Amino acid sequence: MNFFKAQDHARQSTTKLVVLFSLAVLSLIILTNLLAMFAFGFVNTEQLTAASTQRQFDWETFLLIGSAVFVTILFGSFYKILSLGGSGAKVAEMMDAELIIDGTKDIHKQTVLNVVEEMAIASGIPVPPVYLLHEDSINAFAAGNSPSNAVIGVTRGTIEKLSRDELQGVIAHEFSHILNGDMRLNIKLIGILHGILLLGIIGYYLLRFGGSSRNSKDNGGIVALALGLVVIGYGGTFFGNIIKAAVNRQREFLADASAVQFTRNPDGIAGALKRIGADAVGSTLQNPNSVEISHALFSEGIQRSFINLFATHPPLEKRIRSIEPNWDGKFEYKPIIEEPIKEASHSQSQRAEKTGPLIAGASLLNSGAFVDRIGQLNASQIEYAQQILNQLPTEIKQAAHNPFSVRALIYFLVLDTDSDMRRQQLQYLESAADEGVYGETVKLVNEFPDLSVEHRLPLLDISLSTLRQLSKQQYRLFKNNLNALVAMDSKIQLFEWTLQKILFHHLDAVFGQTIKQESKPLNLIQTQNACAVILSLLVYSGKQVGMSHEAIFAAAKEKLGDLNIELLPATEISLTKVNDSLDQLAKLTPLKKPLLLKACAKIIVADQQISATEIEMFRAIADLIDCPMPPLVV
Amino acid sequence: MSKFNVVMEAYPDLKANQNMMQLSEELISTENKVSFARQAFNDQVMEYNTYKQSFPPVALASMFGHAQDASLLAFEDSAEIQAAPKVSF
Repeated sequence: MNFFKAQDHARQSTTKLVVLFSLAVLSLIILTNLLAMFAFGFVNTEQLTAASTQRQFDWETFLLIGSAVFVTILFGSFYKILSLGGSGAKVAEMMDAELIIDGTKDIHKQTVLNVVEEMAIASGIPVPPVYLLHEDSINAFAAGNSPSNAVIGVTRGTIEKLSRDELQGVIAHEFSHILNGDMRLNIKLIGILHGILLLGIIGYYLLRFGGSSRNSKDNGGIVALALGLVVIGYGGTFFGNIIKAAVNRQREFLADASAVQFTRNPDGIAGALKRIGADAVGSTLQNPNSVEISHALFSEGIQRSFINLFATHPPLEKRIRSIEPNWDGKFEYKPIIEEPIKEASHSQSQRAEKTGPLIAGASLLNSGAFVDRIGQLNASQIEYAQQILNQLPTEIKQAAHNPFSVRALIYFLVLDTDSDMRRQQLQYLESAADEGVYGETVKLVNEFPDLSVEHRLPLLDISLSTLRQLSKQQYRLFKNNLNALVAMDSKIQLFEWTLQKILFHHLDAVFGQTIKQESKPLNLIQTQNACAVILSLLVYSGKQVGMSHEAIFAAAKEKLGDLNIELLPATEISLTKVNDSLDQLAKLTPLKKPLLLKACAKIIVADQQISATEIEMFRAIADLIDCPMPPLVV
Repeated sequence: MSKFNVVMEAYPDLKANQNMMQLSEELISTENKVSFARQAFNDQVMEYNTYKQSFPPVALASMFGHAQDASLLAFEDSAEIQAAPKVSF
């Protein structure tokens, strides 16, 4: 589209129409004059043909009446212009629009503000404020008689249903209205028409209230005058509105062409027009005040019949064709909104209601799906977490958040079930730990005899953040005590080991007790021994029913590709070995870690029965190689 | 920018993230503003030059110090832009 040529054409058409309009007004004035003269009997019909009528038909009277009519029209115009003109903010308030503030969190609102700014730069006028109309239809308006007091309004439908390019096209169209002075022109036209209307109104009132107590000759005259004024006034307004609508339509073509000039992208505005055509509500505004600004809208705001003389906008098809001559005439609705992250399905959240042990359905685990949960969160997991939090006793939760009592809580968690052992451990604590902490531990022991399995790891997660608040010295003491407590019964249980590993893995880093080695990430081949150790550990830790250990190990090994590893005999898996293996595996390259975890998962699901212990072990391993896994929800 | 877009397209979940959307909106907006500013300048230059050719400015312009035409913004790779793209099979 050659937009400069199109703009020229539109401007020329406007000039022609405005000239036509002025001629119309002039002829109305003349008509009114003649009417007035006729009405007051200045010109007798019989005397029209006679030459002696010249006496009556003198220019003075003509000019007098002419100026009277002119002043009336002017008066009416000014009144209307003053009420309509001024700042665009008044128009926005009339339409119940809400000002959009910069820096808003709503992405759509921020986008429209950015687009308005861009268009202001492109067209060289100051950035106008943007108002939001609460309507579903796609429409926009520009108000205000000069660029300095202009405003732009958009509907909610516009900012939500249009793509960025299309929105740019709409805004550019509105900007061209501001820039080309369309509002000023419209206000002048409306004003003049109102002036003509004033004649009609005067005539109407004359008709009703005039001609009561006068002599019959004048009476007839006044009635005739009144009638004539009504015809001229309302008739003039009627035809004037038709011309004004024609002017509006030309300005709309001009605005479309200017929009293409500003955006240099005809697809934007063409796309917006097509979307309006395809949309159910289109561009119809519900607000009754929209009639007042119908000329300022982007597209027709009122539902009109197909061809209407008073339409302020050209038909959609014509507009699209002038931008895109090759358009195929179809309004297709294309969705542009990307699908957001899929919410958890309803049935999944229903299943989260169950609070039993973490026994997973084999199908879910067979696909290794829960390995994909690492680092991700969805609604059902959050609900499950909330449930766990609700089930924890309040004192325990409070203890976890207090740096003082959190140590007591951790000591409490590692206390042995055997009462003799427990007494020994408590004795040790009495001497070694901070005084208050010992008291707290005793309290916890007395109040909460046991804690269910699925609560332990979440409690640990909470406690970790509180433990970071300890001082270095306190932490060192805490670590020593914990190690002593665990070692006291001279056999390490899975949970104790898990707890120690997780706690120190995170906290050592915080308290600077590890030397951070920036080593190159290792691949599976380099860590194959470590993998063998961990996989073997997992194989032996579960009560594998129905399948031999070797078979399970082989199945898991498949997941790792071809590594030359074998199931280690149970005796070879020592604690130090496991610790070292985990340290090494933490250095595995991130892309290989899922493979390892999938192999571990394969071991767990191999016997189709998953116990809470296995899951805890798996979670611990995942955590220790820096792949945090959320609690398993089924 | 194009490389950024390509990388972002590869991660649909990341693309839908609120912060990511705001970031890409900021980037798009900034790029647009720069290009629109250049475009506006060039449009104004064209209008100025055209106006100077109309009557009466064509006669009077040099008298008032507007003898020379304004020049459009130059790009670093103007030569490449002017040249037609080569297509080979």
